[in-house]
Amino acid sequence: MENRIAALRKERRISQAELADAVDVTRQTIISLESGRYNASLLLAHRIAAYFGLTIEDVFLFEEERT
Amino acid sequence: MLSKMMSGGADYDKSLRLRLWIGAALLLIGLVGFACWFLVVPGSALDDHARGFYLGAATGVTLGAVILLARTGWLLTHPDARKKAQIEDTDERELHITHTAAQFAGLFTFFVTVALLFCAVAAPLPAFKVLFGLMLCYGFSFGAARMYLSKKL
Repeated sequence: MENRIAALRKERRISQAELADAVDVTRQTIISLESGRYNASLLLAHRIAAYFGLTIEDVFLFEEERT
Repeated sequence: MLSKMMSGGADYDKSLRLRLWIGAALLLIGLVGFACWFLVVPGSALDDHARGFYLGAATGVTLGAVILLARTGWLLTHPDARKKAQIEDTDERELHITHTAAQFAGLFTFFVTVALLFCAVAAPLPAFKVLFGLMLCYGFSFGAARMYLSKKL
């Protein structure tokens, strides 16, 4: 599952640490999410999407959508 | 590892209070170990190996309990440290790594146990060495799996 976290973060000039703090995870988790090594749970995906003021589908790109 | 597994719930304060109880229970076990070392062991026919086990285990458990109680007490009274610890303890990636590593270590230890049983039957190995080897095996495989998953995830 790909995501637009890094792009959205850079667009809004937010650091990984700031985003991590806002959604209650470690910075390492944000790094892993951005690099695609780890898939967020539904709860974390919801928190991240809500932080950016977007829907989950706007932030996380599911496999079905790319095919 | 256990503290991470215990902190998956939504109420972190509740999990900290539970840790206090666990710390107190561990302290009691350690003190019972020391009591045995002072009161029961001197008059017993136990060999040096067993005597050493009482002292070592009691010291280890007591020290662990004191560290757990001190850290938990600190977290309950310092909101900034508590917030940081909560994020580290409840981080879903960390919990995923811990659970996967525990799962791997359990499975790995199971297979090593089967191999050790063959060794224990073939050679006159004392049961203590077999059990100690198993504990080392679990600890090593858990640590190795955690390190690998931390880099992979």
